[in-house]
Amino acid sequence: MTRGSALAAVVETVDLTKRFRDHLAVDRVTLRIGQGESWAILGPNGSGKTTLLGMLLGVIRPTSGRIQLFGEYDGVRDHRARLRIGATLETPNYYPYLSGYDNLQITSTIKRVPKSAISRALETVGLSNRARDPVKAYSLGMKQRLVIAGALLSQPELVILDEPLNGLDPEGMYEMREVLRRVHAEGRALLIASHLIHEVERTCTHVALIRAGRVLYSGTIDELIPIGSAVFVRALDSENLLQRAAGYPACTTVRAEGDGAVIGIADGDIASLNRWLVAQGLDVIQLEPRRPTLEEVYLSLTGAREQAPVAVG
Amino acid sequence: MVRLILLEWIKMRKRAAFWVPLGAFAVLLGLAEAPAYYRHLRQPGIHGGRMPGEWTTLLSNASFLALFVLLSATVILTGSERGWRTQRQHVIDGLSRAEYLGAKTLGALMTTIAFWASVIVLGFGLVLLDANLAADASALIAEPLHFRMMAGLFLILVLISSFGVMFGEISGSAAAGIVVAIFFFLIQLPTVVMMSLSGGVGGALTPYLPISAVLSLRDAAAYDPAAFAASLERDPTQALLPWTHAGALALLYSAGALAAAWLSLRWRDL
Repeated sequence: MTRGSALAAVVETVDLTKRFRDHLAVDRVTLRIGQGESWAILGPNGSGKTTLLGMLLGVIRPTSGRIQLFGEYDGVRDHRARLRIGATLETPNYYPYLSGYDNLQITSTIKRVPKSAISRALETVGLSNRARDPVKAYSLGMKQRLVIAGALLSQPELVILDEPLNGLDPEGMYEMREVLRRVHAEGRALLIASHLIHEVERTCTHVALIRAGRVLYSGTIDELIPIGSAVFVRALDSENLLQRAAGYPACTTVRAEGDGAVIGIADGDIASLNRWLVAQGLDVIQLEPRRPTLEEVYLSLTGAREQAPVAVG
Repeated sequence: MVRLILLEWIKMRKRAAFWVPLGAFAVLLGLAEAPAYYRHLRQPGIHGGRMPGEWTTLLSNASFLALFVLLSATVILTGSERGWRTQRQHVIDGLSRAEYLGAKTLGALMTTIAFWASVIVLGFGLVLLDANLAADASALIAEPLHFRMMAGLFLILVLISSFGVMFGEISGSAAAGIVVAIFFFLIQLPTVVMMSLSGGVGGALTPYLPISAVLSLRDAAAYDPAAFAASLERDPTQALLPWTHAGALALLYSAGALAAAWLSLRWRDL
């Protein structure tokens, strides 16, 4: 499932593939990210998220396929496009013996940004008072904030971050989420890789679900999770409800909720589900269309459904 | 170019891996000169230690010491960028791989100049000390041979730092890079002897090893045709080249080392 964006593309990949010897890390990924869109690449650890971002950022050589950035640059051969991107991969990559300010001075030198932007970026992420301390004295949360400052330094058109919420405490996660929302609100395109489904749902409007290097879905979250693709069901025999519902042919997920169950259904046919449950001998007393969570959809798409419906919650 | 120099300078100006080896190099070199100079003070004209003749010893010692200190410094300054993943971040930030290697090369050149300058400053310091003891101080500064040897030392340092960049870039870590780099040069010392004694093709190739360029450029005989001929007459098996040939060889090897670093960087995933 791949849906394109109507806006001009800042990132466009066609059949992008990366193979490490006999391991296929990224498999024919075709993706289109429009200006000002907020995207998440969502997948479990080892699914190829970082490899995909690494190829977009020019640090990993694709085995095959094509990358076009901002509609004009060959993303594999032309490094100039990256001057318009603010990004980092995996852990914060900074000189531990230099201060936060000095580290950003290096970034500003590469990106040809005036020094005045450094103080502004540090202020944005709340690091002004520790700007002259060496980075090795920073906590992980402070390092992550420095990453954001570095990424935003040049007012880039596209911000790419790899697991930006990793290692943050709840307060840090809240602050980071606000920064990411601000980036999006300012009209910049945002692309983050994450395995934190709830955070993705809160921060992004678009998602690419990836497993074993293959994109299972790319498009808006709203399109991925239409209202009615899940149903809250109550029955008199609530003990058998979960077990019987799991056997429904179009069932994607089942989870207990209160004295009922939320059942994900692939075809959205609630009437058919009702008939089937009654045929199973259940006395259905409530049926209520629900919007499943991204987590439920993700689990159903990434193969948990192939073995047995997964109870989530 | 200015941008790349500035980039390296921001990193180097507070980097212990630059200042500590540079300071250690200057101190060790000074300590190596101290006994000869002390004897010279006690009994002028009897032992060595007097400028300008002492330049030969000073420059020769510097090239040997640089094989360990400058080599280690450049391997660390290059290799740690992989460990910290700052190399990767530079490319993400918009530097091309060629620009990145260009910046590291310029950084290595700045390090080379600093090491070379420390030797020259130390030498002129000795000249000043000697000037207090001599009637004609202007005669002490240096002879044409010594200026050529200073140029030769610079070429040695360029060769060493280029290999430092290569080993730092190719090896996964700075520590591994230092071990391999020092081993690379040290293993050549017995190899040169064995190859030259074996004669034939091996013997003919001996003067063209990287270490032979270093050994030739640190030998005063390589700078004087008469001394060069006499030296070869004394020991025809020695791996000695005229300084112009050795200098060209050093530059050739430097270019080769940087090319190897480029090939490694160009194709590798960062």
